[in-house]
Amino acid sequence: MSGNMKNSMKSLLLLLWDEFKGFAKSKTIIALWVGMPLIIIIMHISDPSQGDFPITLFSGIVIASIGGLLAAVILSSTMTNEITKNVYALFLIRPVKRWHIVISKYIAFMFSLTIASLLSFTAGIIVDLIQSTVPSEFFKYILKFSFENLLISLSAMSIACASGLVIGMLVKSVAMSVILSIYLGQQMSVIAIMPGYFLENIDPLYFSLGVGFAATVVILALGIFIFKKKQF
Amino acid sequence: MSKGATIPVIEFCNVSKNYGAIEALKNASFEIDKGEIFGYIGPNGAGKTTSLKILVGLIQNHTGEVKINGQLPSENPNVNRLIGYLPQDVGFQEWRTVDHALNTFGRLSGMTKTDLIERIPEVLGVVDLQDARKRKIKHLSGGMKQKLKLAQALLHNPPILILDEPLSGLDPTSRWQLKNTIKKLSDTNVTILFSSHILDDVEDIATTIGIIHQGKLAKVGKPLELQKELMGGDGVEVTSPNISKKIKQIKSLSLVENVDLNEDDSTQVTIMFISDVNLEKGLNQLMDFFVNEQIVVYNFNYLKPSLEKVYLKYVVEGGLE
Repeated sequence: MSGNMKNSMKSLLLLLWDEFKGFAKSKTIIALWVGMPLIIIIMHISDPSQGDFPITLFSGIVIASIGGLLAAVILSSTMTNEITKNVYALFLIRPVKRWHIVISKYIAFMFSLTIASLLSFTAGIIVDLIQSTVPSEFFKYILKFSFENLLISLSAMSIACASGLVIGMLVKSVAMSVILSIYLGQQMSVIAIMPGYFLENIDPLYFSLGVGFAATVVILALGIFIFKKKQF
Repeated sequence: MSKGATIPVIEFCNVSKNYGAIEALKNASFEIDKGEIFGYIGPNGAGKTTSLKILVGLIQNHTGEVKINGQLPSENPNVNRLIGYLPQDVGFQEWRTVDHALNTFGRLSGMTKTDLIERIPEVLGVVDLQDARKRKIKHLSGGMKQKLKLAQALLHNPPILILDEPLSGLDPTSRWQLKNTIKKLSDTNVTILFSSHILDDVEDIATTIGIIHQGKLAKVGKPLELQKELMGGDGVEVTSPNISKKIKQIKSLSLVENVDLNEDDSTQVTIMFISDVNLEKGLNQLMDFFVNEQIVVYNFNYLKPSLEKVYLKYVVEGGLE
């Protein structure tokens, strides 16, 4: 690996780690990590109509329904806020590639969201195991189904994250950025979920993973293009 | 360039930049030599920040050529490491502490963790921000953030400093300290380009001044040269009780161009020497005259128009005719 390439990789990893630390210190992400599992358990316990409905399955549904929305809103508002405050100039005057900033923000946030989803999912499994209300054979099926659901949700969240980044770059007001990402970000993420359930002869999991990956790459490429053209 | 001639540290050649229909810079050119303090002055919107952003590579789609140490940043991006930049309107990711921000910027500038352990306290000492090292940026005052901006610019010991309005937002003590720091850095051969619209600050520290107006570089020169040019030569102001009676005789001196009596004070005259005359010779002739005529002199001042006058001449009146 040439010296320049090595330096470039170093700066990418540094930015990635830094962004992750930033998200990990933000109240929103801490609330997600702690709050989402708690809310799922409380919602499940406080609603007697759910009876023996497995909490693992319930956590999958909650993650799928709010994950994409949260991803788009948090990332777009962060991006708009940082661009408005001209935070990136101090990075770009150093030998930092613009696409490193976009990619590191996306990966760090996706990683934070994955942790939140996994924590919620694990909390569901633990509660189900402690309650032992679900037969073990049925539980294996639920686990597999919920895990697949989680992967599908993550694909959708990935699209929402990338869309949120692009919206955040294009809009100058945080409020507008939030509104647009609520409407557009989540709508975009649906393309990874819906067709798989409605089209015959298509495995929803593989369809979602494939579409999620492809759409994320395309949207991120668009985001990098826009970010490269931006004046700081 | 002749053999042995030193290359200017910064070359800004015929640079133009448009924002849509607005011409922000029109064929602006200047050069800055090693160790110089170049004060870049002009009204708001004159093109100062655009010029500085072009120099540090934040604006790339411009015409003309920019060279740092004789190299084009577009061909060798590593020349950016030679520059420390203090931007005017810039924010920080406020969840960081001062220490964390400097660590990140230092690492991105190519410094090692070991370098930074020594350098961060040092640079925080220079900007008088040692006590805030562990504080979160969101808890810093405006002046402290300005100091942090300077600290990040100085962090990697760059031989070139580009400072956009470095003194704005600072209290008088901090301004004085920063001006001293800039002078000290210049003594160690650091080349400094700073923009300001506070003329007193520029007059205090700049060794060369560039006046920009409506995207055009109206004038570049040493402060004294600009001041002399405005006056058309050297001059002195003399206060003496009977000087009004001697005006004709002073005018007849071979090295004197003109003598004006102060309208408000008949004991005071302004004496201008012929433009290409050596100041020392002119003063000697004048002193000999005063001694021979036994003229009592109460006050004797070398005439030097303020930078404000020079600035107004170029910016408001459109320059010298």
